[in-house]
Amino acid sequence: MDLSPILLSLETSVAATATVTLLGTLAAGWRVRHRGAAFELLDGVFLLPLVLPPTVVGFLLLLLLGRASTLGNLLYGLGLRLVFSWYAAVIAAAVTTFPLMYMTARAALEQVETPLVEVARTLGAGEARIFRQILLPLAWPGLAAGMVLTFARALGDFGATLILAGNIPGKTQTLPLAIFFAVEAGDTEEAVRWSLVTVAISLAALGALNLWTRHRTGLSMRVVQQD
Amino acid sequence: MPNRRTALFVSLVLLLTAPFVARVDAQQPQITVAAAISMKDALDALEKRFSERAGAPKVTFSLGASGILQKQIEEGAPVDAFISAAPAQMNALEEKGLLLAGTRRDIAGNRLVLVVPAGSTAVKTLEDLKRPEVQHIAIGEIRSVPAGQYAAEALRNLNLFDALQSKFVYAQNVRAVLTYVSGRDADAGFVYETDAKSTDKVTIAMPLPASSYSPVVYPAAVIRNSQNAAAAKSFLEFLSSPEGRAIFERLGFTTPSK
Repeated sequence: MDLSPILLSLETSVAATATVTLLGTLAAGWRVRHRGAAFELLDGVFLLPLVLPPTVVGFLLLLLLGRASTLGNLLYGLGLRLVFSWYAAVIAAAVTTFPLMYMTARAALEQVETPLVEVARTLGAGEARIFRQILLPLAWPGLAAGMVLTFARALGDFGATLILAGNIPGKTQTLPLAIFFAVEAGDTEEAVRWSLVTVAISLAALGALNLWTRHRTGLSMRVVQQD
Repeated sequence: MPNRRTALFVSLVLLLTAPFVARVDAQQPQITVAAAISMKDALDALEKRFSERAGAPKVTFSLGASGILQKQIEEGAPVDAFISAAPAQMNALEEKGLLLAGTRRDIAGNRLVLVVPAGSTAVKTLEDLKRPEVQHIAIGEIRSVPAGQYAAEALRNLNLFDALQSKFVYAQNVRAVLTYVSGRDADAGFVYETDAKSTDKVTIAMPLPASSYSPVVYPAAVIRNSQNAAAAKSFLEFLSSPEGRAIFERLGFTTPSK
């Protein structure tokens, strides 16, 4: 039995979660400090991947990054062939999960009480330091929840991955793709096997993440109290 | 004025029931044909011509992947006829005794071709696919997509399959192969001739040798439980009439030899 879909699913989900956690939190941190109609509009763009069906997201990414596009052609000229690569699978999962991280991170950061931030500011702390030492530790439980959602959704991405990364066993064929093609081929046994593996991984990963978050939450609370 | 109110009431009733009455009135024979979605363009053209005949039954299509349609018919979907993209699905229904005996026929055929992005000159023959600059070859998923099955069969017979396998991107249907090649993200792909002719973004590099794969045929048959078997039969007969054949051929389908 070829186990590559399991490994590929874990690799792409972890890579996508790492990317999205960083970008989503930074974007949310930046957004919290800016208000106005233009930013509301930007929110719409950020949330688009959540509203659109994943296959549409995949198709739009293919139009954007495919060789027929200006950007894709430029990248191709630089020797970067993204479509049908492992990176395409990560990009697909990252784009579809970005709104989940962004929204949760924004809500978490917004809930941090402003007096704390303002006190820090009057005491001369820079924005970067405020973000690192006050916002992040206090918003941590929310950020962790965002990471859990991101990982869960990344593990399950099918439509965007299929269209942008293609279905290449050992390279881009993640568990959802393996399941889909087993069902299409009428191989119920294989489909059930992969589905059970997916359920097991999801439960294990979510359980582990929850444990770790609780641990981290305890830590960060202590850090804040000591400061 | 009670008269006026009665008149108003009667006209209201007439207005609200008119659509139902119209339905009953227009009850010409009606058939539902479950058909492979890859034949959509051809079937639309054929139905249009068929409907011009006097007393022709009204034909509605339920389009989808042949495998799914087969399952629906097995579950008793109220369908009068079935047009499949490959013999396998029709064979399954025949074995279960769900077809009306003597009505199965092949209505059209197709050819498998190697396509490349329009303007591409890197690939002219199947041998060229081995060259290192050819990185991705799009092919229908071999276990589930008929076009992929035919292509794999041909490549195995031509002793090219093992050499090319590492370059394959397995698509969920033949139209996805076309998308990948027309966007130049795949350097080549295997599709039916009718698909290749549906867009000018791909060029046919060469047809696959006919001797290297089983004939591509589209079987059709009347379903045994049809309430309108005679009408369904007349539609299938029209499909294989000279008039029907001409429409198929115009769209790139071949005439089956059987």
